Amino acid sequence: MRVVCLLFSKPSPISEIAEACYRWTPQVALRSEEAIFLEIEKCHRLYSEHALTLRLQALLKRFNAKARITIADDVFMSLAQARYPRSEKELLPLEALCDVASPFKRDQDIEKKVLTMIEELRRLGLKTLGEFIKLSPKELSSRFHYQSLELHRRLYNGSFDESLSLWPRFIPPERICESVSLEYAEKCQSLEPLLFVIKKIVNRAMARLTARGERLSKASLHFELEKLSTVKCTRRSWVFDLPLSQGAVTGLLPLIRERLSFELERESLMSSVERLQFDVLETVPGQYFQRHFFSKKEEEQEAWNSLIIRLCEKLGRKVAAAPVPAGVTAAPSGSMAVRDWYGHGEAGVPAAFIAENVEHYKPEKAWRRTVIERQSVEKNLDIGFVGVDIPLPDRPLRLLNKPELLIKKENTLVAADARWEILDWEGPERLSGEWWGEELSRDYFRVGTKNGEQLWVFRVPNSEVTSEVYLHGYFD
Amino acid sequence: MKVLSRTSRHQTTVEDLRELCRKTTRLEREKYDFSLHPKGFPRGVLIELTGLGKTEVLVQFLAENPKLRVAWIEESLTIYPYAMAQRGVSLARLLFIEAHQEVFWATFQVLRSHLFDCVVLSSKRNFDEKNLRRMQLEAEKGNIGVFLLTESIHKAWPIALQLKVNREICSQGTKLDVIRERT
Repeated sequence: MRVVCLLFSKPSPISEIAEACYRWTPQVALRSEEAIFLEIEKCHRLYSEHALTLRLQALLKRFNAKARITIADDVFMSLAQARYPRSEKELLPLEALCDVASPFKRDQDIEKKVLTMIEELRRLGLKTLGEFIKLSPKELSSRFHYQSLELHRRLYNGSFDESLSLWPRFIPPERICESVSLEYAEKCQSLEPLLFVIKKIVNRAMARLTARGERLSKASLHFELEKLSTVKCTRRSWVFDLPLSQGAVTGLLPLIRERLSFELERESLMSSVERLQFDVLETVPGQYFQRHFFSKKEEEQEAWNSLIIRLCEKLGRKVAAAPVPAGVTAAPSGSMAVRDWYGHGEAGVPAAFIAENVEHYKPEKAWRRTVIERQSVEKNLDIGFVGVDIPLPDRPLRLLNKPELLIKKENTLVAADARWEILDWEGPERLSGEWWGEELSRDYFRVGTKNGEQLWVFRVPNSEVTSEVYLHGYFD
Repeated sequence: MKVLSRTSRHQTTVEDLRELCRKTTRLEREKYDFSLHPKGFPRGVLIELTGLGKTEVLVQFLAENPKLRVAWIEESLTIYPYAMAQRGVSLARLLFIEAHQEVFWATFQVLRSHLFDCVVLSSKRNFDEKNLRRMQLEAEKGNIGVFLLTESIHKAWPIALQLKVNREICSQGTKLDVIRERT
């Protein structure tokens, strides 16, 4: 058995740190708000002990905590060595027997008995564990309680218990919630200094999510403001509903920056921020969270998700407010999940998307917007051509949001702000919808004009006004 | 090492060394193949396409280069993805962005992500030189081809290649005229 012990001298978020340690081993135990134990014997092919120590130090830095890290063959020995740093276990002081007796929790009864025994051993002239181990078990049993025999056995044989099932179960906190209270000197109102603090707490939340094998899909950020008589509302909150999940702080932070700069520009903070809180509201399984040494797929995935989220966040607001564009009106109800992308209550459509063909007679309804992950894009590329295989006449590459009315006067088409002299008409191609669904009947023509433009126009068959033609697109 | 040994043995002249420097420092840009422009489109530069039929030309280019990952940016979306699929472009490798007023911001985000081989910016507005220069730098850094689909030719030095599309009505063919080419 190889056990890593992290011994904290100051109060620290031990449960949160222990949860983040799940990424290295599933065997985690706590000692009553004082130490974390990780069993790593079976992981020696995944990482070296030195590398793990460095990574644990980096993790502690993230959580702004300090701990002494030791690795030993036993739980109690790792704890004792962390508490009393000595090069060899024989040199450890007799006080280390308390940790040997009860490594996972502080038991006052046992501690009292062991301390009495330590006093008696001192009277006999013993100072270190090495000297204690040299004692004969027979002498121990006659002078001290049975606990001394057990302690001697543990130290002599060098094992606490072979079975890991006897390790106390560590239950990580159900919710991921990271917060920080700012000191008086740290309090600030502007965005840039706040982002430093936000980065720290988001970093911690992400470390915990990664350890769970999950990715973030929805989160909230809260500011608690200093209570002043001029401040009506002392709490500001934002919800980040991400169209694609995020697994790293590097992708999420630009999004938070964008949102906060937008929101604080509209309504600035009335007083300094006293406390910040970041709550993880929804997560998704992070299938690809383990990085591949020889491939950059995971990094690309993160970059892709981050880009889409940023684009949707910044541009999406405008899409929701702008006139509904061609492809969007087109999306048949239910074909694309129109959802609240930004948590503002605005039902927007994604401004950055992958287009997908849909079987529909109406040209403007023949595609829809989707937001998919990079992996899905890769899969589709492997399949090859994704599109229609029904031979239809060429559609124009530019389609108008709304068909525009033209008047046909002899050989000329007249719009509100333009006129075209017709050279030739190609068609018609009749498109008609189902009588039980959306009724539609259009005769489409490809019109060549004198200035070289090619228009895509339609006429409604059997219409009373024969001169009415609708411009629907350009062959640009 | 080779250069040093050569100079010491054969008393190479300054002209020889200059030629050698020229050979080693000349950067041959990677190119995208395209049947309508036999020289190919260089990567890492700004390419402007104008004239009637410019979108058709670009879509044909995308169909001929099926491995390229493309970001298609417009102020208000007018491109018809269904028609692109009809012309043999796989929609799965295209990211469409409807950027409204934030066209440049979206373009820089896309260029900096280094996720795409090509960026297409279709806009009716005039591009100012400052933004074009920034785009040029980003394109060069990421070795990304940036295609500008415009109504008329810009007189801006950051654009390396300017092409005008001539649609020949009678033969239904298309021709590309090079307005400016900077290597």
